[in-house]
Amino acid sequence: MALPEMKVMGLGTPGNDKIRSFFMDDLLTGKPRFVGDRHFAGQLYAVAKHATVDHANITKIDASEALKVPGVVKVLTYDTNPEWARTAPILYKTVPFYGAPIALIIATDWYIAQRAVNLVKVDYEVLPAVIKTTDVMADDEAMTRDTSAPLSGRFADSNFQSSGVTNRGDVDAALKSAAYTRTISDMPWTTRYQHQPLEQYEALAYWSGDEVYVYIASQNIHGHHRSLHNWTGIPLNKLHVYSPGCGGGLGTRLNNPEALMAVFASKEVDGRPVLYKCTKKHSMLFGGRQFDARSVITIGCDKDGKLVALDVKYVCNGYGAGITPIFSKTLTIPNMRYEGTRLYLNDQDRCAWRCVNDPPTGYHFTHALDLVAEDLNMRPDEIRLKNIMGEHDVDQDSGLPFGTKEVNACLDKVLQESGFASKWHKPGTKKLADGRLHGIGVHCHHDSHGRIAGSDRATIVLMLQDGTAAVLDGGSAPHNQMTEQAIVAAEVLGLKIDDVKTPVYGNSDATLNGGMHGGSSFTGSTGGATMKAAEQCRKQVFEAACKNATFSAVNAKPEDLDSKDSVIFLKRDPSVKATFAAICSSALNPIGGIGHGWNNVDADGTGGLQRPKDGFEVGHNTEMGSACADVCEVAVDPETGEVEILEHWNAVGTGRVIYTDGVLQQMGSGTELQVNMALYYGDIKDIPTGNIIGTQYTESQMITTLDCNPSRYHLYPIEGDNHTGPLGAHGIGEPCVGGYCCILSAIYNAIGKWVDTDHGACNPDRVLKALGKA
Amino acid sequence: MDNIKHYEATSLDDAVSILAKGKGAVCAGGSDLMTYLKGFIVADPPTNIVDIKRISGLSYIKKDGDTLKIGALTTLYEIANSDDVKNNCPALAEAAGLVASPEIRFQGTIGGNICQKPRCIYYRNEFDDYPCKRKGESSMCYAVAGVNRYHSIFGLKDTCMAVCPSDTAPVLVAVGAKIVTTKKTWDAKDFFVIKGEQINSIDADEIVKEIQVPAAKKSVYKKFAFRKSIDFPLVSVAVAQTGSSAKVILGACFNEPYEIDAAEIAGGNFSEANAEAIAAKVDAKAKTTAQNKYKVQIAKTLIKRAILSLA
Repeated sequence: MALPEMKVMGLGTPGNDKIRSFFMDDLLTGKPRFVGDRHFAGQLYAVAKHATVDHANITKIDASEALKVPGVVKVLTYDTNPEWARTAPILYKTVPFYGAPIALIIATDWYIAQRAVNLVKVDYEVLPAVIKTTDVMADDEAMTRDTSAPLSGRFADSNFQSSGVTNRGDVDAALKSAAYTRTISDMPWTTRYQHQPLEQYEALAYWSGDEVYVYIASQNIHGHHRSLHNWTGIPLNKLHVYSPGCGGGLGTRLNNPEALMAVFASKEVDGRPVLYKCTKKHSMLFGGRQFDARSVITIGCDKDGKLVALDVKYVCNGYGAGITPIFSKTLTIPNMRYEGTRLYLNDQDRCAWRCVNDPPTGYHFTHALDLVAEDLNMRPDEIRLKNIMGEHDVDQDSGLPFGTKEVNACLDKVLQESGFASKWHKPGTKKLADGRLHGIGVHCHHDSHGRIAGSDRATIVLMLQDGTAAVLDGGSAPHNQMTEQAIVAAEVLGLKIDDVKTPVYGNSDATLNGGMHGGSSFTGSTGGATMKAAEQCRKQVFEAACKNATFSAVNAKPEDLDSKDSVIFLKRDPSVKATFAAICSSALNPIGGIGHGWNNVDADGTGGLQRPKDGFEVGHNTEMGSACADVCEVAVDPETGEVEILEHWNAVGTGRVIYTDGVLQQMGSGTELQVNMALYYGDIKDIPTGNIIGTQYTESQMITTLDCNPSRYHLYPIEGDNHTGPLGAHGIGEPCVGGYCCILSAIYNAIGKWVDTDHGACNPDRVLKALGKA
Repeated sequence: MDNIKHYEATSLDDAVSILAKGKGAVCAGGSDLMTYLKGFIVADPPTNIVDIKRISGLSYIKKDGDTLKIGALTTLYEIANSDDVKNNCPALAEAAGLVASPEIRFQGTIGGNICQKPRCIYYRNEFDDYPCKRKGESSMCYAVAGVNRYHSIFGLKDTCMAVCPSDTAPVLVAVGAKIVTTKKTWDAKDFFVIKGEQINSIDADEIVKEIQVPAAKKSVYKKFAFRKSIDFPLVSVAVAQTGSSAKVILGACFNEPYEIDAAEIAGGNFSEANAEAIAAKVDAKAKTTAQNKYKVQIAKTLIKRAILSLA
């Protein structure tokens, strides 16, 4: 079905001065723009001392030697402000994991503070620690209760955090009668990983009376605002949070404790400005990270590979990433049981990863399907095509329609473009002319990222007297999100994109909650708020126009008007027209709108479908998400274990494209990220000490652009029409990246062995191990 | 960084006199020294930084008979792209062209490349979390019981498992180069003997002036690293035939460039059988761990490929 014609949406490269300024003028020319580049008069500097044990009670902290160092002003500990320390993740008295901050050294110079860290002496009463999910999984009791006796773990009551269960049909009976069953439990480990922004993790704060001013690189400025309020009790109207720039690392720029550290430190030095700054190493020690996940998957099929039952037990560490079963929204499975459990470990919690809802789930999903296909003498694409949900199928558990479901189109596209069926071969059976092994793999999934979840998000749109619009979306930094919101406003108002500005960002005082930008829900959620705000403005502009001589002369009513290219015109006679500038400059009242978003599921009926779909009416609750599919072709050197990406095809269900270049940037960077995660990157944990030692880019093997060959990455935005999202759009932050899974699948196809990535990437040594050569 | 004194030396004598005061470090391109200082990797870092970049007459590539004379401040980019080097010692041009990234090759010098500090993951850990033997701060080599995936496959030397990370070092040993310093002229094989933190044996107040490279037209350098764009070698090999002798020198496999006997190819018979025979000798000498056994496989592969490339 043809998509409705749009006026501005889908543009290639709309202008946006803020983005150009930040990324091209400042970053590329080395001009400082980050928090750590600000230096107020009398400013002090703070660094943390980090725990060097996994789990312990601190019995004594002796800072006397550190305090003798010239320039050291104060050393703060748990005892400095026990009230805050009880409610906030600040300075721990009971160490929950290696690297947790336990003291704060404040000095006149950052380097002085850093050098004094090792002079602070700590006595620990070491407690038993649990640092692997498998340790907890071995304890049946711990796995089955949500409150229990101590398991020697991170918290006193239990290692159990939460669980989610999906039950559909009769799994046991279906497995029993299935023609084929297989249980897969030896799932490979995925990468240990931490987001690394351009700048260090840092925050600056000062007090003026009882007002607190905070600067932090944030992707969720209002989230920080609320967190600081919740942690400290400082009234919201006394807290002022600003984000002057954010050098990536999105996914961990949410509610980081850096801002709290700076506020805390400043409070203890009479409100003087304090810059709290981590080294990259230390931010990795206590930042969220991808770490530990295990699953046991039992699949039952008929002899032709049609799935009849699936039983999944999945355990992962910490909060953050979801345990939503991507199986259940990608494949048609009549009988399914999914038990997902989140555990607290004496290790860092996991963080977001731009891949699938939960990267290990995605990889385990691909791994299991490929093994079953092999057993049944099928190609990996065949088993997926046989079982993939239809575009118009409803959710198998809730019965709700999907706002959009593009996974079929994505899979078809990459299979067709790559020529997968003709290139695939039995694992380990094809050599290239140069002696390397050839492999090809496929992955596809529908994922809950990209959903619409914005009822708490709001945008202000103001019409200025010159006929231009200002969008105040509450975002935090000049990334693509500002362009997105400007385009949405321009589309609704009928303005040229150059007539929409985004003058304010990263300012909790001047905007409403714009939610988390850089996340996949921003487009749909805050986009909805912007759309609603723009609709209010449009209504007011048209009302004002009807009082203008041009339109009053023809007795026009607002519903008789339309607008395009910054001109308002009479629908029945477009020659009757006036510019926005003419109308706004003569309007008697200020024109502005405040819109808020909605959810895909809303009790009050404001969310759900915004337009009818598949017979479901407006307002009907929906399932949401987005989709991707990838095919990757690799060559593996069997003598060195080196893997080269020959070609990579990535298709992403985009909903309505708001900003074409933004979509392609997201997909391209996502693909490069996946190559990085699959083949190169991995933080390195020193098991004897518990330290993270792969903290420099060299050791962690983060790739550079020279390791990527964009000409080999083929990107296909699959434009759909999201009936729940604003103007048919939804986000693609995480969903664009299924590449990790298919790269590892392709390596399997090349060498005939699954590589144990051992918490890292599929580096040559691990490939050689799989080949029995190391 | 810590408080440091930065001296712009006007001559080598000037530079040496400052170094003689103690706690000194020479800065040429600075690509290694800056990360060393900014990482706070030792408890008692040098504070007298002697910048020799502005000393004239230390950047050149000259052909003197069958010997190439290369000034210590010659950049790796210049060496990699020099026709004289390519024609007379292709292995050195290849090695220089594979150091780090283009930006670092523009900045980094041959003198710095052979005087850099180890890249051991523990040694380089910021803020001196691992006061190891190599730093003289303890008797510990943390890699032995910890992560030794990138470390020596031929055992420890002086209780240290770190490897020599220099790309050019194995080439200079393989071709029998000489290193001229302010104190003496070293044979390359004697120069690359570890001393304290150093990957070489020069004194604290000794500065490299020139590298003399005999012609070795039959020479090749192969490097293996996870990343091709910027990395230290995980394994490298230099093979050179000069006169009636041939040398195979492994890099990044031991504290120092490590020689594998290559008598089979001394006469220039770069056959597959000889390549296999020489590569097989790595197995006999290797003392690997569970984590770094793979480096043996890669070393053998590189040796074979290097030798065959000279056929």
